[in-house]
Amino acid sequence: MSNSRLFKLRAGPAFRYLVPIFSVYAFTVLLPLLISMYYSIHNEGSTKFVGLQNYIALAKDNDFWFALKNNVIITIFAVIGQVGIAFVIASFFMTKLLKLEGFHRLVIFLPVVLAPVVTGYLWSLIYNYRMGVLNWLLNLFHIDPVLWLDNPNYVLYSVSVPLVWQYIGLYFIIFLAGMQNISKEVLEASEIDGATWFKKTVYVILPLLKNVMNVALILCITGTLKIFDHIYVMTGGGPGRSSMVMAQYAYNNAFTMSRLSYGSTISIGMLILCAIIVLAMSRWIGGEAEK
Amino acid sequence: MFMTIRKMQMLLIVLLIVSIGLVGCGKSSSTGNGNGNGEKSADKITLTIGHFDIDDNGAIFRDALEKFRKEHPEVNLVEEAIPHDPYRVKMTTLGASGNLPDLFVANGSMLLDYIPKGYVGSYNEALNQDAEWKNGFLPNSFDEFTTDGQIYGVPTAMFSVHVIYYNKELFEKAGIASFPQTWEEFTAAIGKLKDSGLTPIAMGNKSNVPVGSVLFGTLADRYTGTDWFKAMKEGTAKFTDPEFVNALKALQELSKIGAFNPDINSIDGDQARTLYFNKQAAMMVDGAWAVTNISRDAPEDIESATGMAILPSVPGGKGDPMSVAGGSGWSLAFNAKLTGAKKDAAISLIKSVSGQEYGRVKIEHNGQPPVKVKEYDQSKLSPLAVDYFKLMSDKKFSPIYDIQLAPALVEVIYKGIQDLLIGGVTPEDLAKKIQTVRDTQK
Amino acid sequence: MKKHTSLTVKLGYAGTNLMVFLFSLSALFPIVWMLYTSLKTNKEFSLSTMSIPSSPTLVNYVNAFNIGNIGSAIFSSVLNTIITVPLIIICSFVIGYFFSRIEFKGKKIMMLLFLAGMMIPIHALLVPLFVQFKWMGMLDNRFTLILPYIAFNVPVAIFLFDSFIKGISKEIEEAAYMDGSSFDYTMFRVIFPICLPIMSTVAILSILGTWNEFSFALVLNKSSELFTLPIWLTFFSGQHTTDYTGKIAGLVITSLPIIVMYLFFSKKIMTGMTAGAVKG
Repeated sequence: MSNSRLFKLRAGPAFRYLVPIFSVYAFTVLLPLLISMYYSIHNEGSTKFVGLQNYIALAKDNDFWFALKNNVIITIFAVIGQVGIAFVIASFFMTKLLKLEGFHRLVIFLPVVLAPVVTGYLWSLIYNYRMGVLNWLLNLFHIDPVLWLDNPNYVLYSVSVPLVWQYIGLYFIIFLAGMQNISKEVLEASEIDGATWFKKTVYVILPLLKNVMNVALILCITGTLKIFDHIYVMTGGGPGRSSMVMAQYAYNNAFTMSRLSYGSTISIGMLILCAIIVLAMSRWIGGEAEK
Repeated sequence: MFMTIRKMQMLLIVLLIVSIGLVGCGKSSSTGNGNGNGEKSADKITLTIGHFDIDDNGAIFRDALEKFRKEHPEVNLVEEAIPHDPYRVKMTTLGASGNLPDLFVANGSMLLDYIPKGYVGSYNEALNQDAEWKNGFLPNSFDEFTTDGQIYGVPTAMFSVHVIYYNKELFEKAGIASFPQTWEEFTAAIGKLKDSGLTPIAMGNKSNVPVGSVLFGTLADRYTGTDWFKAMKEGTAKFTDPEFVNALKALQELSKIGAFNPDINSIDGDQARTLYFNKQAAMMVDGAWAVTNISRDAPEDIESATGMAILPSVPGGKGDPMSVAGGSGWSLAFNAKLTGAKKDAAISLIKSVSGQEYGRVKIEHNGQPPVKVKEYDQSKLSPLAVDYFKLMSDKKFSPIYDIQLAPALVEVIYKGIQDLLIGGVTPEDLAKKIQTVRDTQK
Repeated sequence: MKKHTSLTVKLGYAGTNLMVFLFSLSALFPIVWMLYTSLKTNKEFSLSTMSIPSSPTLVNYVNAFNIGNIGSAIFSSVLNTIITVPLIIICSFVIGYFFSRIEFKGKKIMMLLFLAGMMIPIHALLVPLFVQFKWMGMLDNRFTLILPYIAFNVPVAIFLFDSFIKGISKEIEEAAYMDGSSFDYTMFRVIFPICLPIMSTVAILSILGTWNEFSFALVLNKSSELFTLPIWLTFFSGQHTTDYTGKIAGLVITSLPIIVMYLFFSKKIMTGMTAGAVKG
């Protein structure tokens, strides 16, 4: 009972901490967002109020929905690839079976350290038709070289790989930090019960990591739905529109085509769709964890 | 490692103070160097100039600015120089809010965006006052920057964006005696080059501008003729007209017969040039600027074997086969807010980078100035540059799409061309899509 | 039967070890590649992008120091990072603590607003923020980038702290309050140290976010002495040409401090983790 009194917001701390930090955030992020909304309900050049006209155009815009579809595909890859693989690797760390633990722990995070632009640039060289590592490997097995970034049929998968590859380390570290918080007794108890790695992971670790998993998924989904740099560097959304994603489409409209209000409309549209996806997911997974 | 609570609170307070302080000190300094009138120091005029001539090719421009500084000690010239790609992003951002530098480099397409918003000033008065300056320019050099009779930009260069650089030796080896003069000969030559194991045409279209700009602009003009383009701008001709669709078909045909390197859409111009330099490709289509690149970077045997040509005539084409997409493209524009002494200083700066003297320096560095250069030292030119001027001597310029059309339309056409090259869209559908965007631009 | 299972299990372990090892190698590869490629000339690079340099040269590094103004770029980047990262950590820890421990009205909305910050593509805010800063006279200043960098990195960090603190038992604070600890003392001296494992992650992410940020640095500042390293890196490309190996040397120069810092932090992460485990 005393908890509720202890953990209640009091005026002092609120004014000391909550208000100033939130004001800074509101000034730098929320206010520009409002201005962006203002652009989206005005014509190009912001001379005339046009209501929801831009949003209606957006709803009818095939290219936008196509980009959204690409985003969703990439996000599914990212969730399985980044969060999934990272969780599996992190759970190996909780067993004593992995060799070279220190080395892995040090190295797996390294790609995260690279700027997205560097990753994109590097992978475009790996994918290079003539000189890339991948086609060099295929050549060893006498397989014809593949146009990784030129063929519209698999360019979307090609651009997803670097993305997944780069951020596995991030979720790995997040999971590892979370797993260290699980008390040793619980784990040891499960080991005494003779639980295998699989059982231990699914029945003991996973339920205890619900919060961390929720955050990891939110990070992964929000990050991937607004993915930009990697694709901008590798293909620019091309060839044609094959690897176009929403953020790239918004960028092209606002900065290449000088259509700021439509570009803003796309961004707001993205925000709304993204919010729906994240909230739905959050409700689905985190039900009682949110309390 | 752990700070005390007091230190934490101090940091938070500092954060607030910094943010408030920013507002304060920022305001006081913005009157000094902002776009305002700069009346604060009456004796020293501050001029800001935005440009992207930061590499070797831009040395002439930077030298000219340096010279201007020496000759005009009363002007405090502040350069805002960043490379081309970020420059475009920055200028769109500044343009969206009307905060352009005093002077800036702009192409016709950017001006089309700025003029209706009233951001750029007209040169008519200044040009009319100085007949010698005005008459020094090549014919049509103001076309790209003129709207309703008002000139908003002074060209900094005038060149063809379309030149076919070809390797004569590789052509001979493939059994092609001279550069093809008709479309059938051209496609036949491509077949022969392909049979001899070469990439016929090397291009890097990753940014989706090169094919549209240096190849398609000229190809389209062969089919449509320049009159169609003018009619299209006025709204009487449409992209769905058969002439334009035929041009798209011809481009897709080239792609289908394997004229280009298969990775055309994932490499950039430099990588395409490397193919040509390594004798893997027999031709490359590039702008006049590649003359400088070849003279500087190509192996000697490549440089000496390189010939220059333009696209041959096409069957049933309405265009002049002696025309190439080209023109003055980039210009210097000035902010409409400039007045009085500041404007005078700006005009004299512009004169110093567009007059006779600047033209002479530029041409002697293998550049293509927009002025008729009366005297220059021809021996300073590279052999390729001499060839280039010879090639251009009897050619006419046709419109460059990305200079003459509004940015939104350019993006749709060029992105669509990339799609066309991979067979992702039919010429007819693409034409329809382009026209839809054209229709939204009143 | 039993023997058979243990064999598959053994094979499974060997397989997993191999997979993880291959992945680790692929993670190490780009840095090794950048290092040796930066020692090549452009000519050698254009012949093969993957080969080891035949005669290593430092010419790219020598040239890099003549491109743009590298000194001021390093200074700007370092200064921005040093100022913003501690502030990001403290701000996000505080908000994360409030979110995870304290019930108050409007908490849900506030969380949603911070969540929105994670979902907006930053390019959407570029022009509005420019207009706003212009209006307030905050452009082109040594400290212009501080506020955006804090605000854009805080949301992710808040959610990391929030989830981590939720995993910490409330009994710890209750015990502290019993001992007469104040709110500030409990938050900063009791809970903050426990958050060390996640703090290292937040620190690295904020360093990366600040160090690699490009768009705001490009648009909000115009004086060349305020350019940061990502802006400096673009100076290797002209309108029609790129100096590839020069750019890779530039990438090494900009990435190396971060890699070194990570290697430094990685030790802290591990000690932090054991600390976290002990407390549990």
